[in-house]
Amino acid sequence: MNFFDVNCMIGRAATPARHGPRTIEGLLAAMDHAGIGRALVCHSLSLEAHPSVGNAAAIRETAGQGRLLPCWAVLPPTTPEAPSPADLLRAMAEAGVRAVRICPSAGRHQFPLNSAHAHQLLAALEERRVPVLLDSAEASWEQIEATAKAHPRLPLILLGVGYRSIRALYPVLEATENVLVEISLYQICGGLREGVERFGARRFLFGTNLPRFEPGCAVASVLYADISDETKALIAGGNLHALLQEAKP
Amino acid sequence: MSDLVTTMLAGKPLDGLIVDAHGHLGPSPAFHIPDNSPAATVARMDRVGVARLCIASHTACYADFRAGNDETAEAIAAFSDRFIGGIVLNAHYPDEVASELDRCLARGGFRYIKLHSSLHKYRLDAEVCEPIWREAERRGLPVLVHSWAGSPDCGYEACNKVAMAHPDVRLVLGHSLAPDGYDDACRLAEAHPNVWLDTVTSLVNYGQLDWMVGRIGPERILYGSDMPFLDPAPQLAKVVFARIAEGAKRRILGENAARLLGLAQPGGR
Repeated sequence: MNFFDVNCMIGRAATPARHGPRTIEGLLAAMDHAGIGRALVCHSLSLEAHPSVGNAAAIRETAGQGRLLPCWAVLPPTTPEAPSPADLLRAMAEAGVRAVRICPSAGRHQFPLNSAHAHQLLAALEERRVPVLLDSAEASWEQIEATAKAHPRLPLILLGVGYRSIRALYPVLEATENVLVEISLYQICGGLREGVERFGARRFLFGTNLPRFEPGCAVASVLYADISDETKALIAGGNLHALLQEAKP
Repeated sequence: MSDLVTTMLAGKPLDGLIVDAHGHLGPSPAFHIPDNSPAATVARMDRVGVARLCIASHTACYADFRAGNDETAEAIAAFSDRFIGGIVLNAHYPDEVASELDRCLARGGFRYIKLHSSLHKYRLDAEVCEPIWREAERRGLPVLVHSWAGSPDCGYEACNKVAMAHPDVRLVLGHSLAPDGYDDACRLAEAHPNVWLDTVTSLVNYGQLDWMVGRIGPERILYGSDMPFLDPAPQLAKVVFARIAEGAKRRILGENAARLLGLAQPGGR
């Protein structure tokens, strides 16, 4: 099984994982221990400092690391600090970046998801099929659904979807085609089986939340799910691989 | 017995004696659980290789302990070789403590008391709990409590007072004072030989178990999953992928629970 992690962070976090790996070498060793091949990684500075600082660090620190693919954090072109969508896409293409993360919450980058500028950014990403990662705790379910419906061809990957949110998640998955679920916290008994049966295998993506979480836990969630081997392969890495192949920044 | 990491990466059921010391049963009011019936729970246990599961029904933990204990008893009757019952009590009903224990123990298959003071809303160290602690002591029943950092009902202070006041009661701190009270949980285990910890939480923190074992040793740490609240596979993985000795993993995964609950070992299922 080829595991490709969609939810991984590098860099020195302000509040680091207490026991988690803090170096690239440590991260790779943790991935090896759990049988994980590749990871899409955001840099802590992209999330906690400023995207312009962290995105450069992500490129620098993943250089020569074939198993780690950089993911940038992006801001809407509201203020001069953010590039225009065209300039952003050009920079992503040059740097080999095929996915981005948005952090609209008050604790992070603090911007409205429904502003004209946010839609301008998301429309540009949608046009190029660039997957957008969003921590599910950073937006309401209503905002998530509205954003996905406004940009129906934009792959919107929700990170850290908790097992307790299943009654809020199902209506959003039903109402949209492009909301996808990362599974590191989606640990309900039978949750993956039922989710796949109702919404299809392509809606779920393997993610670990390294370096905070033990990566073998998400690996076990996939390996022991009551779903076919073909479906497991899609969730483990096939879906993410296909999304990144389709992205043309 | 085979190497645990190799077995798990192959997606095969784990072998050896695996006892899940912290589980539930049935639907939850708080969220949908797809596979929550006794039969579905046993099927899930088979899939991952869990021989025995300690259960306390959600009905008992959230609402009426008597009705919920009946659900637990029915599940034990259907799968007596797989389920171990936890008798849920509620300190708001002090006059029913002894009679409910008698009632459940007479039905068979119950081996411990379960308290969820956070949901039932009382403090573990409150005067009203005394009948429960006295009965647990008198009958030699371990008590599994929901413990949570910062909670006045079941946080460090309440657990510490109980452990100190009732040194003959084996007190299992479910969740080990999650989400961030693991230092305090270990402090309690170090201070009180009657305190045990378990591994249950959806926050599958990297290296958490390695650190706990390094601090207090593996002898009083129990594997638990919260299933069917949570799926057992990632919870088992927390132990399996820990960077500790294989023997320590085996203790945590089942041998310790067998010792605590008086189950026959070895021999697996």
